[in-house]
Amino acid sequence: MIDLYLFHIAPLSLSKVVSLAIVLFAFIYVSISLRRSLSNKSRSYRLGLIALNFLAGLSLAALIVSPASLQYANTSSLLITSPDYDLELLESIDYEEVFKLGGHDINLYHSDTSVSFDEAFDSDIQTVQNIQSLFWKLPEMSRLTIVGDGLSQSVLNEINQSLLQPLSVAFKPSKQKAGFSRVNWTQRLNLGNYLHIQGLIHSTDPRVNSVALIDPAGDQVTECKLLSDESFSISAKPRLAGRHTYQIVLKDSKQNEIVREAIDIYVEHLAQAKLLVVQSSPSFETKQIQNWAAENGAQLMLQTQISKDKYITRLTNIKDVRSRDFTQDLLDEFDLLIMDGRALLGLTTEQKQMLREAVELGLGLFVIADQELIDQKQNLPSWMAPIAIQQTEESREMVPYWSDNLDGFTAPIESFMPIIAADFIPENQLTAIQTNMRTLVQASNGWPIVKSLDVGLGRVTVSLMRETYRWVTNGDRTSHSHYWQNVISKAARPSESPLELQQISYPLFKGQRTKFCIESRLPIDSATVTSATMPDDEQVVHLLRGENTLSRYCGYFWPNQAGWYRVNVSVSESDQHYEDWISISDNDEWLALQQSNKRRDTLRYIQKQSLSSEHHKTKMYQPINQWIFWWIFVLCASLVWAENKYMRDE
Amino acid sequence: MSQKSSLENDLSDNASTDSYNSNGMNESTDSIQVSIDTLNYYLRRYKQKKQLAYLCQAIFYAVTGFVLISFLDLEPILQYLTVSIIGIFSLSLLLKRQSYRAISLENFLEHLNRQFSEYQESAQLVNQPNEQLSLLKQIQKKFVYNLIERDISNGQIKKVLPAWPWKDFLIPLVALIISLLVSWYVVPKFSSEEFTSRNSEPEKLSQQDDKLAPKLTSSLIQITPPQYTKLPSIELEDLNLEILEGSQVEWSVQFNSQNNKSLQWLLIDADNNQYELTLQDDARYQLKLNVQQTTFYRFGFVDPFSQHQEPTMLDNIYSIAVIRDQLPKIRLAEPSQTLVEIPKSEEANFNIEAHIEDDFGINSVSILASVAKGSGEAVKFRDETFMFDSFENLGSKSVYKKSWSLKSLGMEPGDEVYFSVIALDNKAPEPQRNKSSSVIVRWLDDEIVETAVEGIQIRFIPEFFRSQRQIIIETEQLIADRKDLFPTVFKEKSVDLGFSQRDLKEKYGQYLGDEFGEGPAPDSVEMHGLADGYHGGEDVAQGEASAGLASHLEHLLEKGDGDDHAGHNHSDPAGGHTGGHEHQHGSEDPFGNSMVDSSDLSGASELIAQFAHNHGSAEIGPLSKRDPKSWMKRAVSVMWQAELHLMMHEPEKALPYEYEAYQYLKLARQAEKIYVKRLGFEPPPVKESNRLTGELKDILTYETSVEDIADESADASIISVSYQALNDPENRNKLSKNAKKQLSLLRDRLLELSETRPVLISYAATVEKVLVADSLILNDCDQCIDSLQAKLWQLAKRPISLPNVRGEVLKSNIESAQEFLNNINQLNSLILQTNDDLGDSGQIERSGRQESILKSEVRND
Repeated sequence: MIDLYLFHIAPLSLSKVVSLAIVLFAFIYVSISLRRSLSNKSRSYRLGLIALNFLAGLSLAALIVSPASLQYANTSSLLITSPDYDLELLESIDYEEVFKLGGHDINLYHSDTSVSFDEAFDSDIQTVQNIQSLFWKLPEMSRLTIVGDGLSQSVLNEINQSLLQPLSVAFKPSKQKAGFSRVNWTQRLNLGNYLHIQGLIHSTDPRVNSVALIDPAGDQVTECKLLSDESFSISAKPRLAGRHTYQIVLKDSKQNEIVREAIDIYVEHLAQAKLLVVQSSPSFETKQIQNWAAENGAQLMLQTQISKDKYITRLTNIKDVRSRDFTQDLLDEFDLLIMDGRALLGLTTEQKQMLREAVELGLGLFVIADQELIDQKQNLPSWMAPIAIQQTEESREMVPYWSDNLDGFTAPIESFMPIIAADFIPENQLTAIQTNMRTLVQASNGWPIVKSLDVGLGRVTVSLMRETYRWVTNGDRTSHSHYWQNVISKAARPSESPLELQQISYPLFKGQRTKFCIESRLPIDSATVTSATMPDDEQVVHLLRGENTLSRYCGYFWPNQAGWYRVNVSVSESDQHYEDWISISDNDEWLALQQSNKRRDTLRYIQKQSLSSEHHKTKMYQPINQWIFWWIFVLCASLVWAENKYMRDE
Repeated sequence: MSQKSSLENDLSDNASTDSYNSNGMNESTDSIQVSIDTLNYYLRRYKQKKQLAYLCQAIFYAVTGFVLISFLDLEPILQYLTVSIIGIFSLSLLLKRQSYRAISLENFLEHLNRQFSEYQESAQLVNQPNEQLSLLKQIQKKFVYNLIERDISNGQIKKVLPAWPWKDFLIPLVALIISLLVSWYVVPKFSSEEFTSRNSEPEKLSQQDDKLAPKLTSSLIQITPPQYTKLPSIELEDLNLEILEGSQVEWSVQFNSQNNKSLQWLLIDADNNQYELTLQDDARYQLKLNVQQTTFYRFGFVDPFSQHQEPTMLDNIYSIAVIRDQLPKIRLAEPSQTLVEIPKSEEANFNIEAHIEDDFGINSVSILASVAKGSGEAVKFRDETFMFDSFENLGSKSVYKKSWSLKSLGMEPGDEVYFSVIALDNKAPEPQRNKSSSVIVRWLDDEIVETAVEGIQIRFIPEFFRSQRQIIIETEQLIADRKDLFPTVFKEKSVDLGFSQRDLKEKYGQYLGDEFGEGPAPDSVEMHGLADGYHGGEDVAQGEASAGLASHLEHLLEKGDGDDHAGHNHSDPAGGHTGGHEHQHGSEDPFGNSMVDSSDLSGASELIAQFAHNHGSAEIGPLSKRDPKSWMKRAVSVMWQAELHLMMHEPEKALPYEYEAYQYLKLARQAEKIYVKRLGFEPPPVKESNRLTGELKDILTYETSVEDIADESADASIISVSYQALNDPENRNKLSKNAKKQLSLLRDRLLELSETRPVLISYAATVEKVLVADSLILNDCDQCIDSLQAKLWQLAKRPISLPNVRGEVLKSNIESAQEFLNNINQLNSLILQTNDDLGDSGQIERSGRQESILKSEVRND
């Protein structure tokens, strides 16, 4: 490779070298013969002719070697905008500086063909659909000015990969769009659980705006009022299983709708719990738990002590159990064991050991605290010691708060509940961390009411609330069911699922590469992703197992349209199938969120890069047009021939 | 080149056979042979042409066969096999043709004789050996040879060769064209006709006269409302009807099958009742029916000459929504209270003014009175019916008035009269009757028994609770049906609910001494407006306020007279203080509660009282769960908001307030319950040693089993499963059997519900359309499925939370985790054993906690 400051010559093959040698020889020969034959001519005449000969030879040599010229000695600046660019913003850019730094004409590119620039710019305006492909054609680009929303992280990464050197970015953000600048929700829910939607709004109305949630039937479910740039959290309980679309609406202070977005969810029935209740005496509490669980399809076995060694057993929705006695077989069959303190303390040593082993293997233990548990806390099994309780002065009434997700505690209904005269012993920080001790329910002042800790694979939970049945007697079955569902889901043994689609961060958009991961303890090779609205749009996704987590398989697919996509996974060498759903939003949805994400990504990128005044000099060679050399050769050779024919004396 | 070489070879081969001839003859023989070879060459070429032509014809025949069998729906391999056989068979037949087999040199030479007369019929001589010819023939042979050679040289022989057999292509070409025409035009027409008939099951009509499938071309519906409504008849073209109950509906329709008058046209309703339409002179079909209930219907026909006697249905389904005649609405403007007490000292007169509205007219209005005389166990009741003295029509309502004298009723001080207004509307044949709530008029005597507010509340609370609940249910229904009702109807219903809410609010307000109550508030309670001093955010669980409230409540009850509270202005009675309120602070709050602690001699409390609220007051103190009055006051204040929004046709905004009011009323009911400690003998607590020592002889069984206890009402199940069927993409093009079954149940259920909610009939019709189409794609309605799903969502009950466990994927190394646990146990055992062996020294301990940590780490891993 030969670099000749402004020119570049690629490595020459043997034939080219030979050709060059021939040309050189011919040039020398012709020059010598010219000199001899033109001895009677003036020197300048001879030199002119030799120069023509030289030019012809040179152009012939150029045709052979095909040199390239250095196009850009300095980097070019590039300006791109997004559809909602602000004209004032564009005018605020210091083009002098840009031109000076760039050293060449500025090229304006626009990513939206429907928008036209102001003619006053008088520049070469081009429009592109795909920003990434633009940079493939201009790999020498090193500086970029963006006006508008910005570029997403994936686009910036792609641009960087196609460039010869890192890109430095100047960003002039456009006005923030009104709408939901941040939002998240859990797409997959169990029937009976709440849908929680959290997010952040931006509004041009400085007064009180409102965010309303509309259910699939078009009825408003709930509404909250807030100011611009405040966060919101709203909830609703879906009524039916299946795929639904809620809508979330932002309205200004005059109740004019600013924006309306779709929230897609998938509600499914999960496995019902199998509950075992062992109690030292009948109680209203367990009676109401039994009624609620049984009416909703759970399997229940209730054992009530009626004598020293006699129990009354009631089986609900169960045909038979392996054992009626407190044995390992019995414990292995259930997901959650509910006991009162007296019943727990009344177990024999052997039974306590069996219980411990069962909990370590995953059984959930829920203990309803009573006076016995307080008075005989020293007899509590050692593995439950961190969660022991102690006497307080008097019983209290508190409003219990619990959370459906891990983001915070809420009280769906603020009603008082009596708490027994006890408190949990102060927890040792180290023990709390080691045993994953958690507060499941707390009072408004943060006092724990229900606490749990991990023992092996299972959890032990102690509750200071003994009278949640009051909710039912007061006619508030909703709170009662919500509380117990929350408790059971956290305390009971989880159901084994061979496969599970991991929660994805929504919303996802059409035309963007979408990643999904499946947690599986069975080997899987691939998944088929099919559009619900267009069954022909089917993609087979090959899944790769994660390096660090052997049970996770991830893959990518490209959604071509908005709507639901069905993910069908087949287990290798098995007939088992697993199905789940992913929702894809259209590109004209969640505009404020998209803008917010792009701004954030661009600003982050800029933080990592620095706009320096030193510009990298990039060498870029452009092949020179071969016709020039042909014309030169033809012209010069013609002139030499003409001179030889007409100007020579015979 | 190859031809020439073969000729040369032939020449050399033949040369040896002519050894006995003279030289001249040998040369001649050789040249003749060459000519013969040339002729053979031409012949061969001609044969090849012929073979090629036959091959092309065979291909034509094969293609023709392929086209003809393509719509027989054979397997591809069979198709190809058949085509190959046809081709090969055709080719072999052609090759066996006489015209092909007759191609020989002899025939060719004969052909030359025919073509060239100068050959003198001697061309065949060149193919005969000289030995077999006489001298004359040899000479002739030589002569004709020269001619042949000349004609070969000048190309004349070539010209007389048969041309390419184009005519042979005619037949296969025609066959191919015919087969193509058949496949393009005739077969698809035949196929589509069969498809149509399979799907819509039309009877195979005589297609000669009526080439179009029967369908409705025009319709005219005349609706005559019942006579008593005095409404005029109307004519419509839309077949979806919304009519009054008992209307006479006359259909006059026309179909495009007028040329086939033998068809019997029927109207079939949702219950599969068939009504025959009669053909009129103007070629229109007519039917008259008296419609009493909501339903949907279709048109169908039966061809009496066909064996298929089941009616063939047309695709469209139409709905009839029946609007019921409403009951007369009665509102007692006077007296406005439920209880009117007339003191002995006052005149024993009272007036009754009733406002009565009905959608079509009132037939009669009367007063049913029941006079109670006496007291205690000697009470006697006497029932009488009275008429109003006067009535006045004020547009949409009538005002009935009556003045009563208690003495004229035969009453004395201490007696009571209970009366209610009964109205009958003019519905025919049987009028509808409505009765107002009862009003009690009590003529007081000297012995006044003050009834505690709480006592009155207790007596009436159950009725009010039902009423508020009913308002909520009807508001929810109104919101759900908003899209299906006309705006005027929607507004009317909303205002009607607003009136109901107002009535309820007034009734409660009476007992709280509300300012809009016209009668004097009970003396025992002097409440001043809906002032609610709850500041919000305060923790009322401490019990402090309740103690204060109780004492102040007693104080209020004893005080009797209230103070003027005009200066006390709260901006938001529902939400507590929001600022901007004005207080008159003094030693007493506007409610007459003393804020000064009389035991405080320093004067501090008096100073504080000038600037502060007395939060112990029932009115402005924080809520206590034990004070029913405060809950009821909040309920009444929230009812204001609910009424406001209902009157403004905004039931969606009113609903949260209605719920809130209902909640407060429930809390008030709970709060008014007084738990009294049991007096008398209290047994000591059971000793633990004595516990569980009772006799068990009465225990019949120690085990019970109950199955399938899930309380899933039929409605909830139908709605839930149907919704999922509509959501399932598998059912999009064709319904599964299960889906059809569920949707049939849904349709029937919606029909039943449409009796009380006529708007549901259109959804029942949508379900029927889905069942008829056997798929979720409805050609005439893109949004119907979405609307149906939305309605099902509204009809579904809010689910309570279910006893679900969380789903978790156990990690792929769960078995190794299990092994690890086992290993730990074994290690523990080993350690213990090692400890024993080692004695006191060198003990290795692993605490249970550390074990738990390890296990937790495994679990979290």
